[in-house]
Amino acid sequence: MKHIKIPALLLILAAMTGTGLAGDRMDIRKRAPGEKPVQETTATVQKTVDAELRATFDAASGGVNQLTAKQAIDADWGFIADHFGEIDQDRDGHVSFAEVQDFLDARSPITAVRQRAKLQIVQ
Amino acid sequence: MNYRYLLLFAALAIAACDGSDSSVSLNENSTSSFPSVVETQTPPKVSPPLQPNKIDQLTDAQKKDLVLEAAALVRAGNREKAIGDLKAAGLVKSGEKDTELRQTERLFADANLLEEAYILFAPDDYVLNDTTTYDGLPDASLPVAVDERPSVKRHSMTLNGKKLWYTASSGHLTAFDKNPEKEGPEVSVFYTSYTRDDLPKENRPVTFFFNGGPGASSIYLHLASFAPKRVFTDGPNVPAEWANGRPQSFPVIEDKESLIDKSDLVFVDPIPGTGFSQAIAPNTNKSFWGVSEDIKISRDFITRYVNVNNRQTSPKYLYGESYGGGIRVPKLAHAMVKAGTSGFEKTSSNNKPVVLTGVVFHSPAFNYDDDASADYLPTFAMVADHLKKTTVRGGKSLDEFAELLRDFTANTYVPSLSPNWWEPPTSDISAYTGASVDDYPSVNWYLPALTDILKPGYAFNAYDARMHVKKPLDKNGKPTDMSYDFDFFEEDALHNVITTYLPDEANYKPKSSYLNASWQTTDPGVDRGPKLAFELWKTSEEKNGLPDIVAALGYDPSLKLITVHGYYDAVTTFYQSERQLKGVVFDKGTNKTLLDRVPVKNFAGGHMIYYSEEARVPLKQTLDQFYDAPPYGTPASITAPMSSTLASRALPIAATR
Repeated sequence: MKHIKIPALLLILAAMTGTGLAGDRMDIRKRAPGEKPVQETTATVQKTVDAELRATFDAASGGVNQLTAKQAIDADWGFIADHFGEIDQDRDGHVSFAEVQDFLDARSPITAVRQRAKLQIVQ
Repeated sequence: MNYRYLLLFAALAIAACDGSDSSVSLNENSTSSFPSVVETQTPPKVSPPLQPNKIDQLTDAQKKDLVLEAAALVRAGNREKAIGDLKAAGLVKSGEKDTELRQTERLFADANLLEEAYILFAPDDYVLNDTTTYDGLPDASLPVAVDERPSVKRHSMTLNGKKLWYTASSGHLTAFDKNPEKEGPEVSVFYTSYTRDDLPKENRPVTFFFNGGPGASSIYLHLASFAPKRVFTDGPNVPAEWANGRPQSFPVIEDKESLIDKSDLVFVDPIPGTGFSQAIAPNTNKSFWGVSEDIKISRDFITRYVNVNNRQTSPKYLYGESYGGGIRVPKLAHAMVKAGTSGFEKTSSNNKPVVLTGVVFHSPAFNYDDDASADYLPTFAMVADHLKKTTVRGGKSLDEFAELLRDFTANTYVPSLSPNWWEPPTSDISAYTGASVDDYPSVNWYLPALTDILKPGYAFNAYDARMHVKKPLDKNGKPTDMSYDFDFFEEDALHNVITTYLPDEANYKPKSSYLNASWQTTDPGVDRGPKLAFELWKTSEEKNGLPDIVAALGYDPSLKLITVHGYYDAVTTFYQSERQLKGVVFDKGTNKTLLDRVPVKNFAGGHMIYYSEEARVPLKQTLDQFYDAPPYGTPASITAPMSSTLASRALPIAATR
C-alpha cells in the first residue's frame, strides 16, 4: 500500500480512538481533533476527594458544622456511625468536618495528605 | 477417609473455641488421647443413649461417634433426628432452628464431612417458572417487585482433584432505596449465584461480578469466566466459517479454573433492561441509566443480597470488567465503604460484619477523559508481533517484550509526538508496528488501519486483536465486509447458551428472553432500533474511577486491589491503566504510586481475558493469590487527640500542580 496522505478518514478516526462500541463493553468518549486528554494527578485526584467529602458532610449535616451518628446514617453515610467513637475524639456527641477529614486523612495512601492530618493534630 | 477422624477432632476443638454458638467444651489435653482412632476406618458404633447436656461426661471418641452418627442420619434423610441427637449430647446448643442448623453444619464442615454438611444446609431443589414478561425499553417498568424466592439446583463437581458441592440459583432481589427498612423498591435485579452450601457462610467469601458497557448484562463474565461451568470459545482461534455469520453456540464445559474454590460467586445484572432486570413503578428503566443511579442500584442489590442470605460477616469482593471495572466498581467500592454497615440487618453471628474486602478491576477504563493515542502503541505492537511483523522482540518473553514496549513508548515515541495533532511523530515505529511510517503514519491508533496493512483481506476483533478471519469474497472475488460486527462475534451463541443453561443448570425457567445488552446493534444494514442504556446513559457526571479508589482507601486502607489486563485488548489497553495509575503519586520521596497499590497484571488475552485458553490458568493463579492474601497493611491511626479548633486546611500537594 502506498503512502496515505493523512487521509481525512483516519484523522476523523483519530479522534475516535477506541470508540468501537462493542462487546462488553466500552465506549471511550469521542474527543474533538486536537483536544488533549486530561490526565489525573495526585493533586487533581485529592481535590476531587476533598470536594466530595465536603459535599457529603454538608448534605448530611444540613450545612452546619456538626454531624450526629443518626444524621450520618440517615444520609447513607454509615461509616461515620460505625467509627463515631473514634472520630468524635472530644466526645461531644457530634463530629465536625475537620474531625471527619482528619480521620480520613490519617488513613490516606497519599503521604502529603497524611502529613496534612498530622500537622493539624500537632496544632 | 482416615483423615476425617483427625479433622473431626479438630472440628470439635474449633467448635469449642471459636466463639460461635456451640456450647461444646473440650478437655485441653484431648489432642493426645485421640490419635489412636485416626487410623481406623471402622464404621461408627452406635453409642448408648445419652442424658441431655452431658457433654462433659463424653470422651472424644464418643463425641466423634455422635457426629458421625448424625452425619449418617443426614445422609439417610433424617436431619431432624440428627440435630436432635447432637442437641441431646450438648454438641449443639438449643436455639433458633437456623442457629442449630448452622452449628451442625459447622461441625460437619470443619470435620470435612462436606457432603453431609451440604445435604444438611443447602436448600432443596426448586424449579422457578418465571412467568413475568421483562421489557428492556427505556420507559418500561414492572407494576410491583418480582417475588424474591430464587430457583435452586444442587450440584457437585471435582475441582483440583477434590469433590465439592455447590448450589446454582437464579432469580430477583429487590434493590430498595432504604435498607434495612426495605423501603422504596427501585429495581427487580436479576442475578445468578453459585454458593458452596457445604461451607459455613460466616467466613466464606462472596464475590459480586459486573460487566460493563454501560449497558452490558453479566452474560460475558457469567458464562465464560469463573462459574463452575463455562463456555469454550477456544480463543483466540477463529473458524473460517465465522466470516459468513456469527457462531450460534459454544460447548459448555466444566470449568477447571472456576473461582468457586475461593468464593461464592454472584453474577449481577444491575441495569434495568438487561438480563431479566427491570425497574419498578413509578420508576422506569431509564430512571437508573446514569453513573450514580447505577452505583446506587448496584449497592442496594448487594445490601439486599447480604441481608437475605445472612452474609453480613462474609468477606466481600467486587469484580468489574471494562466500564464495570474502571467506573462501576471503583465508585461502588467507594459507596460501600462510605455506607459502612448501616444497611445490614442485625445478625446473630458473633463475627464482625464485613463491608468490603477486595476489588478486581478487569480490563478497566479508569478515566474516560484521558485516552491518549500513545496508549495504543504497545498493544498494537503486540498484535503485530502476533502476526510476526515486528522485528524487535527477538527471544523475549511476552512480559519482557511488554517492558521493551513501555520503554519505547514513554521514552522515544511520546517525546517525538508533534504538537500539531495532524502531524505524525518523528520516531520510526515501523519495527514495532510492522508497517512503514509512510504506510502507517500513526497519528491515530485505529486497529483496521494497521491490520489492513499487515494482513489485508482479514477482519480483526478489537477485543482480542489476535482474532481474525478472512473476509468473504464478493462476486468479483474481492474481500467484502462481513454481514455482522465481528467485535460482537459471541452475541448469538451466548444468548442461545443462556437460554438453555438457566433452566438446565439453575432450574430457572423464564417466559421472557434474556437481554444480553441494552444498546443498539452495530451490525451493518439492520434497523438499529430505539436508543437504549448505552446511548441514553446520563453523561452529566465524570466517568472517572481514580478519585473513588483513593477515597475508598481512605475509608478502608486494608482493601485488597488488583487490575488485570489482556495484552491484545485494543479497546482498553494495559499501558493506559498503568500510565493512569502511575500518575497518582503517593509519595514523592519513594516514588510510590497508585500503581504500586493497585498492581496491573497482564495476560496473553484480550478484553475478556478468560476467552483466551492460554490465559486462563495464569489468570486463575493470580486471582488465587489475590484471594489468599491477607488484608492490605494496617490502618493508620491518629494517636494524638484532635483539637476542635483546627486551622485552615492548606493541602501541601496542591502546590505541586
